[in-house]
Amino acid sequence: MDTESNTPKDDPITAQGLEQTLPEYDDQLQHVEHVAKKEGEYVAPSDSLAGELASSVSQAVGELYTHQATALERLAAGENVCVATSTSSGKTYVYALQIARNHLRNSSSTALLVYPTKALSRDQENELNTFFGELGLDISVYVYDGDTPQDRRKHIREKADVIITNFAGVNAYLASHTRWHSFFTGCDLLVIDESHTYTGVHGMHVAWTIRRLRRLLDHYDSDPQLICTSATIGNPAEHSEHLTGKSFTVVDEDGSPRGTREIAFWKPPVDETELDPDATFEEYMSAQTNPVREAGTILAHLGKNELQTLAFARSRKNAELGAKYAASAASDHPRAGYVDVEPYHAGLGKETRRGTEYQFKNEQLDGLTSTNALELGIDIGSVDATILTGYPGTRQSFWQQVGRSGRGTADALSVFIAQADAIDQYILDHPEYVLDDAIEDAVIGLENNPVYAQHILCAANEHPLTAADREWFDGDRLDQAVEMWIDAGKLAGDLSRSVRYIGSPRPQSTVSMYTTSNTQFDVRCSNGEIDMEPIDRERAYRDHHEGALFLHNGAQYEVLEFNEDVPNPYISVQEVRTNEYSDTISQKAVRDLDPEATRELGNGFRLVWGEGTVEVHYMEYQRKNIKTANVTTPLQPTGLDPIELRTHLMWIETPPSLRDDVLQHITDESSTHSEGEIMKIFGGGLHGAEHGMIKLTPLVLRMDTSDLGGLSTPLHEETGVPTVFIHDAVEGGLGFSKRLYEHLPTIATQTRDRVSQCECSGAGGCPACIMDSQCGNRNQYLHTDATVLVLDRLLEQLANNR
Amino acid sequence: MPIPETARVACTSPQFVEQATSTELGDWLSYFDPAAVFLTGSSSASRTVSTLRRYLESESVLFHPRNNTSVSGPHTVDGVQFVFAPTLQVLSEIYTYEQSVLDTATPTYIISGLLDLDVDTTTLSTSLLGREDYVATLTQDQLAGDYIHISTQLPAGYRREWNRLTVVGGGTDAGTGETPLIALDCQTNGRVLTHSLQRKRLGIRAIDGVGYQRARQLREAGYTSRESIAGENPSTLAEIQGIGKTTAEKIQTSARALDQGEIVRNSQTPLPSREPIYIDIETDGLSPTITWLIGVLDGSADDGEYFSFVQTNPDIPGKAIEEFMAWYTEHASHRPIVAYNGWSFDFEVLHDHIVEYCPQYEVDWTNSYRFDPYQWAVKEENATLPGRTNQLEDVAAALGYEGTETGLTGAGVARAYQQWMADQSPDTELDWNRFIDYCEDDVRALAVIYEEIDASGRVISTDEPSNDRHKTTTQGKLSDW
Repeated sequence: MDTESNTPKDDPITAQGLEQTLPEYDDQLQHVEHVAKKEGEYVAPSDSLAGELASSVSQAVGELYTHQATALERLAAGENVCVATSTSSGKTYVYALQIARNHLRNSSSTALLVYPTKALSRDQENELNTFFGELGLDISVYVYDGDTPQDRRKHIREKADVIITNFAGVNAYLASHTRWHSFFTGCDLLVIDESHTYTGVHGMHVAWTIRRLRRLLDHYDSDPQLICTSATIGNPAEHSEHLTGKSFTVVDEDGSPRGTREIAFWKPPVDETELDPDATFEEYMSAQTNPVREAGTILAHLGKNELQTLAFARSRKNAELGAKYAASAASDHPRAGYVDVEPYHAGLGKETRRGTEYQFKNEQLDGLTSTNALELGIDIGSVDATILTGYPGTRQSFWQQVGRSGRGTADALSVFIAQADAIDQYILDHPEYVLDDAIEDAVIGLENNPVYAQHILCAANEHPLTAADREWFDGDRLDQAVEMWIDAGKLAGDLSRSVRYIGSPRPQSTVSMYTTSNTQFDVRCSNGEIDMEPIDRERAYRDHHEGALFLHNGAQYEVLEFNEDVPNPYISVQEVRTNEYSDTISQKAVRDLDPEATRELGNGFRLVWGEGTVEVHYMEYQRKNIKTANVTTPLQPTGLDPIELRTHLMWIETPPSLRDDVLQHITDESSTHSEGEIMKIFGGGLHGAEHGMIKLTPLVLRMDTSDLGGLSTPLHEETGVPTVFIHDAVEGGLGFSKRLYEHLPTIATQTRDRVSQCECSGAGGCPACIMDSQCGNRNQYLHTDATVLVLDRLLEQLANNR
Repeated sequence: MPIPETARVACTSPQFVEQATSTELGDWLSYFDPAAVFLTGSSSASRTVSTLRRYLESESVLFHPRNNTSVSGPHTVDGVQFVFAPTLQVLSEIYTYEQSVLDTATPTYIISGLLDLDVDTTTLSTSLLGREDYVATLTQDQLAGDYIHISTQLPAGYRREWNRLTVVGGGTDAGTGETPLIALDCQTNGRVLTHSLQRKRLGIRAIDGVGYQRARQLREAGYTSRESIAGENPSTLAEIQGIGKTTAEKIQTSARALDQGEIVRNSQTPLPSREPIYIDIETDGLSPTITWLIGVLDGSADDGEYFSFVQTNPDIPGKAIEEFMAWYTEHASHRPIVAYNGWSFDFEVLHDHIVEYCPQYEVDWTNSYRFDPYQWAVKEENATLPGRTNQLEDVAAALGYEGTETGLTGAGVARAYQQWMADQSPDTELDWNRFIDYCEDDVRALAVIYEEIDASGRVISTDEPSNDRHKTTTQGKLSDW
């Protein structure tokens, strides 16, 4: 580290300090948020725990936070509890103490703990064993997952009081549930850790796996109490209930303390003067100072001031670049010299990573530039400052990254550098979004049939199905699924007696916990290993056709081969390092609409949710240089046929008169307009509204924008009016379009605000408002003013129909 | 009950025929020895048809649903009536056939590629594509005979009543990827038994240690049959690029076992010293909820005493197993329980069902000594077994065991019991003795294999000190288990 410096240590540790000391400061600081210190709220263990346990807890951990005490009281009252409080607020103690209580009441009581990752499981195994040891309790905790040696398994199943596993494991182990009879018979508690992570397709699989598990527990006369621990989300009670099928009491009054910190909202300078009003997506991207370079500059400056800093980047490549930029910024720094900065990501060898962790922890490094690999679980001590290069996608990740800074009572600083993206820009405009109470909902689309149907086969395999199983598997829907599988030759019998599985052995092994369909593509890498779950057919067509470039875990890959006409479809890829990206052109149509819910908004506006068929043809692709956007490979056919999805959609029907209304306002002419103008302006308005809403949906739902797709048209064949469609991107639906239908006023308002406040000057918008890198029409046509107008009209009707 | 007549049909995808070597094709046909061959798939595959013709005896029937040179109309094969329907047109003529050649007193198999499954998990419905046209053309109401409709577009093992239409799978995709080649035994009583064989068990790839790559190396070096490898010196085989000395020995041993139908011992590891009891179980499928028949052989393959524990009432699922355990603990608890492939099925199922239905015997069970000759020979590599596959029937047959023909397969037995469980009526009730005989056949086959393994060990151990076996026997105590 730089030991020469005599600068007072606390100088740039505040946003203002950074503003005043950063070389070549150029008005980047948009907003400063001062998060005040909050004292912890405590309760004596004896208030919620009985005699001996209370005193040993007092000795081992001291007092309990209020939320821990409340949760324990609710659990004592027999309720299922969802603890939704901040990261590191001691949620583990809630279930650890419940396990302790159960054990003291009945020493053969067992508990099943399910964690989202294997890495987290091992950490918790040690921690819990230590904790129970400190309490003087003879409770044995074991991890049981794919890494558990075969010769240890029987012992663990029969001897463990607490087993830690993951849901891919549960799915597999249920097939041999009789081996688990003693553990299952004693099971009093089922804990689902980080439950908010179960959303989308994965969430559906987990939800049905939990029902299968609970059904078998019931077979062994166990009805365990449930605990979900969750990040602060908008709908903890509902989400827990959808996930498990049981009702929950939510505990979210956080009693844990918090240090003082400042968050600087930072906007990299944009060189607008170079930009043409009709600039393309790529031109906008290249005019903004690279946020990674900006992060490097700040990291170097903090390092020169002896402030140890952790910078988060969105990709492995950017983690590498960030470290390089920091080194070069340090040599350009007025107080020339160097800073020790290393990159950190999962692509580096284990030894390299351990070495870097050690050096950083021992303050031999000034900074790290890391992917989210460092976000969870890995102990590198605390740091003076963190830098967030771009919004990490959810508020929870945002706070996790911010929360890494702060040592004891010293001040902590976090710098959020916004990227040229609608969400990042929205947060610059509305910093209160990340600061206020949680509003992102975690959604599980239980109505998806393809996923449901797979779990019915597994359930029948685990134990024959009978009429009583309608309780676990959504009533009469079970009859329908059973009939389908009987016709398909996979099940036999009838529900009035019993329905048995007669297909090929182990249907559990064909369940991929991350995809919906039976047609999945395995991913094979020709020059190394790739750790990637199989891909759904729809996604494979969209993102992984031959010649496509894609990012996975921060590394870039090229698709060499797309092979569907084999029993086990696969794509083969190779890792590449290029300055290119691929751009796929598609044609989309929506038909066979089947409305299931409708809201008449008046004046010809109507909001609908239902089923429909989306046909997409990914026809051609080209490659472009990331920096210049010049075409490097001209248009090539993808070789793919059109693909059809039967899925859920939300759509907005507008009155035909909206067209002239918009055209008149924008062009100031009431005369007739050409087809070209109609497409450019009115079509551009609808298209812009569609893009903007999709891009901003992650503000209200925990999801990835690729979970949704859209289509907008001045005249749709079936609705007969100008229509904007937003659909779930997988067969059978994800539940997101339904939420959008319910949350439309919020998301439409946020979109309108973002588009109207955007600083871009051209009508076509920019990546920070309505341009979208995933657009199959090369962002043609888009019109910002028309977008705002379309949304205004829609919002008026929504407001009148609250 | 009279044994029904049976016509054996081999089903394969055109892809298998095109990709297989001539040794593999010959081997496939000699293994199944079919009276007819059905090509599946939907391309016209005329090249495949002509390739296949060269391997088939001239009187063999070759059916292909999309080929206009394919057999068409009614044919009797090995006493079983078939109507081949490459087109819908043929179906409309069945009424005429009934008036002329078809005996309506015995069931007739109608073979086509006209019916296909569409499983739509989005709408939770399965439809049988082509059914409307099929039924409309067939005019079933006017027909007097019973018909079983086999479609080559449906997977092997499929059987379902579609509104009075009995539809059976003809093995689409058979022989592609991991999907095995199949043969259907079509019987005059309307039953269809399915046999399967993995493609990689054909030709020289049937030899242990020979996969795709080594098969190519061996062929390039001029070894195209198992016989040629069995007769070769391992050190000569080891001269082939990519085949080391140990591998060469292993390959040659396996080829010899296969070619000459004998067990070759690879180790001195002894078998259990005590006299075994041989068992085989029958359940209600591969995910069993009941063990309804436990066949026990006490003594030798030839003249040992066979008896069984049967549970005819599925509503008391634990009875047979409880009686078996009562007998075992009372009369045989020091003796090893021997089951073929037991560690993958019988032992595991018995354990599960003991835990479920008579947990008082769990400790007795887990303390018992269980021995699986398959595990011991194949997995632990103590001996190389003959037989195209390591399945019980194949190994025993290769050792010269001739079982009684019961016209049953393991899957068929399980399915019959499932039907009985689902609806206990005189129609579904099993001919119990036939199943008990079937089970006896398997335990005697098992005893043959065990005895042969034992004998092969004695041959080797003639050079060993003569008290070796005796010593093991006298030291065998319960605590050893």
